[in-house]
Amino acid sequence: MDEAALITQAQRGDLDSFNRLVLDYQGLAYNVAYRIMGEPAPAEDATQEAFLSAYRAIRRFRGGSFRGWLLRIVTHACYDELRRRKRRPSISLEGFEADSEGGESESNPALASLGDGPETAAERSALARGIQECLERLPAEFRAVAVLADVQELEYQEVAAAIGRPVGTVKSRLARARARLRDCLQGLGELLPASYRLEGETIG
Amino acid sequence: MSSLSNLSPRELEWLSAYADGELPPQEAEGLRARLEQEPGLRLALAEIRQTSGLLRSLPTLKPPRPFTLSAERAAVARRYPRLQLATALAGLAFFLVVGVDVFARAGMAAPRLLAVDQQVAAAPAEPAMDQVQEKEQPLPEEGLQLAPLEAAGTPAPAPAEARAADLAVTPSPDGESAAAEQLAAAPPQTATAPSYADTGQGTQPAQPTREAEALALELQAEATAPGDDQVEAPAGAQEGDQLAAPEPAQEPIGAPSAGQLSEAAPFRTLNRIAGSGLAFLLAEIGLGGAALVLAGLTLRSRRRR
Repeated sequence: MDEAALITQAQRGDLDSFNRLVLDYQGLAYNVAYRIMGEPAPAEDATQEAFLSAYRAIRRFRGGSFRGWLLRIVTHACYDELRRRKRRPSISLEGFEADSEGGESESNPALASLGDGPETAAERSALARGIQECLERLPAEFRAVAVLADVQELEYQEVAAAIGRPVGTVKSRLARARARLRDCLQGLGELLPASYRLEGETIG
Repeated sequence: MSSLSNLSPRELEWLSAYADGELPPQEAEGLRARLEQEPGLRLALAEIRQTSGLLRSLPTLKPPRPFTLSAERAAVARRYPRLQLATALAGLAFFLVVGVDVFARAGMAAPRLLAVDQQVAAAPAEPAMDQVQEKEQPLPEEGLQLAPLEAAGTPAPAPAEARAADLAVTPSPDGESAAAEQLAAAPPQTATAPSYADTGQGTQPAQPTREAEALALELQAEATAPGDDQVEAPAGAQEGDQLAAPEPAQEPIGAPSAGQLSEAAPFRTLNRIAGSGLAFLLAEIGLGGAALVLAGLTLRSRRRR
């Protein structure tokens, strides 16, 4: 069954069809939530909350990009979760502990391709955590745009749909987010791939 | 600091969009020309691409568990917004009723104080104006049976016609207090007073008739030690003027029969309940309780989600 048919069935209240959509999109939703939240536990909460909200709201979905529609719910769930955790900071501590445990998941062989020399799994993992920390220093609205456009590689149009803002806003937020990220990432020093450290040399 | 910091916001936005191939063709062409000539701009573009590349290099994480919904959870998810709405509505209704109640109480305080002021001011003076006395003269006897009325809380007869002008501009009370109720029932003509006394709840003061006079006489027999001074009781007259409805002067009707009065009585009772704040109290308790129960259900539902 294709996505449109699943959506139609889900809109009629068919839970199985909705759950198939969940399985299709839970990877994307969780990764977006994780990059915005920065910790596994709150990312999990936000993702679950987003799918519950989507289930309640799916009757109001009027076509267009289902991914954009769903990501909008995910980003809103993340904002809500961030606000909730700001009010109750004790939860962040739990999240931090969980994050430390989950740090292993950041290791990715793909990162090795960025470096000129051989890198250990620990170094790659440290770099991923460093990038994540830089992301977390951005205001939530800028972070969401950077996550959607750069981490998830969405088109501007889709990012605009996901944050509920015009493309112009996406452009300006992404540009500013990248400038801030660049400043932050330079602070990672030795963790960065060698090519990234060659500032001032002629590239491109 | 990176070379991106030296760019204007406009240049930064152009370069960022250019790096993603999202710049309109015309602007992209202009930027390409500048890039050829400005090494600083080229460096900035490279930094943007590297930053973007680093973010793209972040590993894709595997979801820790499936986020599919169980049938029970889905049912709760559907119920939750309804409970939320019901709770919000009950809460809103509760605060509305409390607000109206408080407003009504505050509104009642003013006329009652005014009435008391007038009572005090009128007490030492000759209570009735000449005009009033003239009107009362033909009915000297009716005044006699006013004593029990007043004893029962009903004010002395009000010279309604004489004060018709006052009545027209007097703010209508909400009928909250017992005083207001008594005043509303105050007959403009003494002849009708016995009729109201008969049921204790009069609503339609009327011009005196023979029938009413007969009733008055009947009651008069039951009356104990009426005093002439009470006929001109200034306080009652003043209060009657202040608050009684002006219908008698405007549309005179026959004295209400016992049947009419007994029909009116339940309405008066309802009015009294509403006026005394009992209805407000009941509504407040009911709505407050409903809001609390719904809030409890909503919270439980939220936890189970």
